[in-house]
Amino acid sequence: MSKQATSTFLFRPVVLWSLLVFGLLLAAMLSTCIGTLSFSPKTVFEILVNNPEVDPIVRQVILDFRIPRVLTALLAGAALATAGLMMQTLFRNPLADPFVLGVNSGASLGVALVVLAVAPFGIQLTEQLNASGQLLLILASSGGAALTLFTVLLLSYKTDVISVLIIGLMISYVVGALVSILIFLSMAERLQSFLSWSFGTYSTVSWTYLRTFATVIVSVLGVSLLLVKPLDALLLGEHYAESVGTRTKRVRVIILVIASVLAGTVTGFCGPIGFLGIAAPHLSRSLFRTSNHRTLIPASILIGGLLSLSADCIAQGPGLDVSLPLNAITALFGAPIIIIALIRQQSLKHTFG
Amino acid sequence: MTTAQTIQHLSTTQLRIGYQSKGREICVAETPELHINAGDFICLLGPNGAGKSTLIRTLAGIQAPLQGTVTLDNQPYESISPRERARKISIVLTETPPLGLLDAYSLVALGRHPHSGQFGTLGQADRNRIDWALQVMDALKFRNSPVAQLSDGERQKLLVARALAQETPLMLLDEPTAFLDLSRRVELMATLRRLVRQEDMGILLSTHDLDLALRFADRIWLLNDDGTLLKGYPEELVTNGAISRTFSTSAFEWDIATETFHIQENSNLSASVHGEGSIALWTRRALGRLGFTVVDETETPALKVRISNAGQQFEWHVDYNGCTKKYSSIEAFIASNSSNIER
Repeated sequence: MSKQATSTFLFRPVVLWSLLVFGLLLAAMLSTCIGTLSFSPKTVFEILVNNPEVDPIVRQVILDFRIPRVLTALLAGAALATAGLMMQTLFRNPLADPFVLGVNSGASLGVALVVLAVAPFGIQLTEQLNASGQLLLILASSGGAALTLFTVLLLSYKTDVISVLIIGLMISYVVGALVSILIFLSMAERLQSFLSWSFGTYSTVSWTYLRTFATVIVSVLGVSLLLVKPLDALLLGEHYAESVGTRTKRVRVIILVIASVLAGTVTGFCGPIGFLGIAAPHLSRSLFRTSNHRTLIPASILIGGLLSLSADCIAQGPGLDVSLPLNAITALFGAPIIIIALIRQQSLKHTFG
Repeated sequence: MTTAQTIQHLSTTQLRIGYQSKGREICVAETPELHINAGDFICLLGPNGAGKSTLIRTLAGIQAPLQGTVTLDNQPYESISPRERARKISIVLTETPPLGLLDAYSLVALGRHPHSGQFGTLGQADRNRIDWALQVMDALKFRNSPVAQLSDGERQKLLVARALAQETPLMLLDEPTAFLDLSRRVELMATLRRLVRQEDMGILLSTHDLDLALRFADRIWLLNDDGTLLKGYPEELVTNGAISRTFSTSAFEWDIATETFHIQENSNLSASVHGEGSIALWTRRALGRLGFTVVDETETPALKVRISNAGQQFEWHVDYNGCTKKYSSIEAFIASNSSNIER
């Protein structure tokens, strides 16, 4: 009896992991092939093995645009999902996402300041977003994110964990209000570039930026794997976590910093991308039926990457001339996924109490 | 204990316990020097709000005392790392944590954290200890169930098993019997007491189950409303009146003889019961519940009950207002006399 129990116990995760990896590869392939110009997988393969017979323009499109976009999508999805998972565990709140600390509203204030307020006074920011304009955007949004993060962390050391959640929300509102005022006061043509940033996109991260982007995200994800034990302990609440040897206060700050760096980096490079950070952790819990972070962190990384790639595929709109706003796609598909995962999980109360 | 020298696991100086609020210290209680030794089963008793949970949290190192120090194996708390402390002291708290999608086994396995490595991989020794803890708490049969699907009682067993898996010489439990039915309470207390003897553990347990605590504990710590703490053997605190002083209010009185509470409803109707054994005890209880003050026969009560045993059958002979009535069952006796008091 027990033998059978262990074999079914192992069977499900093995199948799930294989399916996830396969799905991820498939989505990456599709995303590379499909776009305003579509190529066959064979062409992509030939470029990857450096076959000299391929049209150099096609090669350039694939190597300089498609592949960076796919990698960006993967990393961004993984980062947002992991950050979301950590926030949900830390705050014991199913709706917590990487942005609860106001990271994205901080980033949008930074961008709004640069695009709407500073740019009209001489700093040239072209509508096409050339290289230096792109750098300015990244700096502005990362700076804004870092500033809000710093404020929330400073306040968080003084109170309990639920107050941190509320403080983050309130700061988001304040920052959002400032952005509204900026929008209200600015010229229509400037608004356009702010809006296109706020739609979110993976296609503006070139190889140059990708190097920084990937280094930050991969190394921070690596650190997050070291937090498996404290995260598990936090499932029992801070008192029990403390009693099994977790340095709760220190761990709380580390988790907040990690999640904010992940979310802030993604927002800085790709704009605000909603729902992935909530949907991926719920989906991981619901598929693997566990609360154990040794499973959930890798699962969220894969599922986050998969969702992010799929959303990008859809946003690129096979058959359409334009790409749709990524943020709208993640919301359109993310919200139903969350609802389905929650219904399958049956009761939120048991998970988050 | 066989060894002449007892091992003092936890000791404190005189403590002031409480919490900080808006920069002000709010002191809940002041305790004398306290010790928990190997092989001690101590019950912490006290009314609601006397500071039992605060004391347990202070001894567990979750909150610092306002004044005084707690030492664990002769080391003050500040100098012990959380991991080292977690190998010496485990806790079961009143708060039910949100247990999520954890299965029973994973919950108990969390107790191995202070012993496992960076990623919490379980070795053979860890798994043996978890199995042992599940078996001691009689929880093996639901080891693979999701915790969310278990009953309150089963969940409580798991929380104790989790603490046992932590393999600590000391365990502090804050009202572990609160959600359990009577037989499970007795079972839990008996198990803990057995562990104290077998594993030479030191256990401190706070509870509202006065009778269970008095029966099972080696020592009682009695925390009063005024923030003082008395310690002693159970029998000592009962006979010197400390227990009844702590728990008696204007409405209740703790009776040493019957180990129960009397509800004091200043009734001028008195009654006496002449009889023996449990049937007399329950007749007295019934009268007390109906509102009679149960007194001795010599005090000429308004209602006199004599219980006779005719073969297999009990009979209740009641003298009231000069006339005598006879009842052949306790049901008839209670039904008739409840109308007496209503008049």
